Amino acid sequence: MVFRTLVRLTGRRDGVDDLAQDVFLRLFRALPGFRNEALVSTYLYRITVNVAQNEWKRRRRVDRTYVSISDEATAWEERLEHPGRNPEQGLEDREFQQLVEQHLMRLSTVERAVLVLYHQEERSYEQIAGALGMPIGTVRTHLHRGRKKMRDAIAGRKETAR
Amino acid sequence: MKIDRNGMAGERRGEELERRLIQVLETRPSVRIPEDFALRVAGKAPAGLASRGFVPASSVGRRVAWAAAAVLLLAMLALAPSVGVGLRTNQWVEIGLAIEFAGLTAWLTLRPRLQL
Repeated sequence: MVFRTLVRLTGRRDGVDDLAQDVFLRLFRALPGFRNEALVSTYLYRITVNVAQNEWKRRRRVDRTYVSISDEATAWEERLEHPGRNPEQGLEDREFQQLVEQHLMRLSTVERAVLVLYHQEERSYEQIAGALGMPIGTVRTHLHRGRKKMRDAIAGRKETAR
Repeated sequence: MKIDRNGMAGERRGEELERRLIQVLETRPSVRIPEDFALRVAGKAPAGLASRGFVPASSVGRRVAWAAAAVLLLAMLALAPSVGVGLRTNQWVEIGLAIEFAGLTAWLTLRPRLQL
């Protein structure tokens, strides 16, 4: 869960082990002060999002170039393909996947975190609110706004392509 | 009519786009965790914690504290009837016990607990 959330939030696979290591070390250090107010998983998600945000900031300082995680051929893209679809449709699926990944990286860090935790990690509004330290209403707003931004951007791009 | 048909087609395209978008977002990336990852983390974890792992701290201290709180409560109740009529020192003892009781219960309830 830590690895895949980091991959999705940072948009890269290289160096993810170091980030995951950082997450667990932070968790180790924080455990003595852990209060029984929330689930450990919520706490772990909070640390994961913080580490991803720090990495994102660090990377923006170092270089502003963007590399999609879809640059690497992975089983992830393959899994999206429907077995009954022809190669052309498969290619289209893969392009769409890349498009989504690109636009996900263009969202604000909070919107991206909310989308990933909600859709990929299947967390509830309450759990996301706990992990990100914000009210449930704000989580809902970020979720809808993030999805709308992505939908509009992808639709706009498709219209341009036509 | 044409406008309606275009509108419906646009709506359908929007729904289809939303469906595909959510499908991609819900797809979990496959990740490969290095075999030595747990060892690496354990090696870098602060000394004490690594050996203790996720086992909560001993609860002996808490039990003793709860017992002490119960004793304090009984002592306060036993002393209570004599506070109004008895010696003035009894009042101070009662106040002292109450402060100790309050401090102990505050420590017991507010102290961070580790439960995994």
